[in-house]
Amino acid sequence: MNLRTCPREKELAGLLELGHWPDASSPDMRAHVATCASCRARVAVTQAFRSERDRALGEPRLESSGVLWWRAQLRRRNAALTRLSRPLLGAQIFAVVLALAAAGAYLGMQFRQDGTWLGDFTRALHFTALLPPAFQNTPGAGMAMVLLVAVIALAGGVVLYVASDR
Amino acid sequence: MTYESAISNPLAGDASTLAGTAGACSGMDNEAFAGFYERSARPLWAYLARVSSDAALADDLLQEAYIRFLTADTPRSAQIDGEVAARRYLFRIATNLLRDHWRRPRTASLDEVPERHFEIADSSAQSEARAVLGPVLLQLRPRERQLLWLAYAEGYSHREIAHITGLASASIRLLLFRARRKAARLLEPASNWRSA
Repeated sequence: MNLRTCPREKELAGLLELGHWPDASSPDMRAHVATCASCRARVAVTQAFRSERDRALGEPRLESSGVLWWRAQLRRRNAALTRLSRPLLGAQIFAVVLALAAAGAYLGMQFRQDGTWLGDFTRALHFTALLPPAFQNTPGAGMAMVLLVAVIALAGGVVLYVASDR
Repeated sequence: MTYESAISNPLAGDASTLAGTAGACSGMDNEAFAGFYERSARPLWAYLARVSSDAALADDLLQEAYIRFLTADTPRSAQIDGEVAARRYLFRIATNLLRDHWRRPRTASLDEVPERHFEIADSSAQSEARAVLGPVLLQLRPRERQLLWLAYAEGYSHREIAHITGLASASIRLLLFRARRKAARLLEPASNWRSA
């Protein structure tokens, strides 16, 4: 592709840039543009885009700069909070993993020693006392209570975490 | 003291505490930004509206561009060169937002986006923009409109256009040459008709 442009195009670009075309330009330049396809194309395109720009400048209904300013500040603040809370989230995850690992290790250890430990555990804590007297001697009542208390504790923890996160 | 209190609260309205944290770009305070916004918002909107052919999209992208401009870390050149560089940086942000918008559905490059993707549903605001834009500009590809707008409406140099669009400086000349030739060819019947 031939990329050669007219040697006078730079001069013409200057005239267009300064708004001197066509009234403040020399007759020589006007005669040149009339015969030079490259310069004519430049004039046509520049004038079309400039007039389109002038038309477009009056169209927008702009938001107040203050609103944008405050929105930017809010975004900066939220980004800073996210940055700060990232290590805290890491620490929380680490703590949960550590607690689960400890619980798993403890349970594993207990299972290896004696299978009846869980029954002893519920008896020792007297969980069945929380049940109505008629159900206290039902087989598995203690275990059911342990599970119920565990579910309540877990749900309470989740609710507390979500609430504090808000 | 909670860690949240270590960060200034914009809703508390304490302008002095915000002066240090906000306006990261160009180190602008609220008033300086208001002046800059006044001078630059309309040309930026015109660029976004005419390149995208969508006035509503231009409204959205304009706001997002300024918010990103204010929250971004200042490029060193924008600190040194003042408003001219800040304005160029703003155009760059807007160009990236446009590209992200076009990329969102599936395509990887602006040049690969099919032309029909830019055809817009006829809402009243869009029809108005279309009528003003004229059939000639609508026949150009968005990349061509973008380059021609930056070069001939905004008067940016090839180097500045390369900076704004992220294209190689060497390829701007060729792309612009082709785009201008196409635009001139499309404009020719219109100008002949006007002069007749």
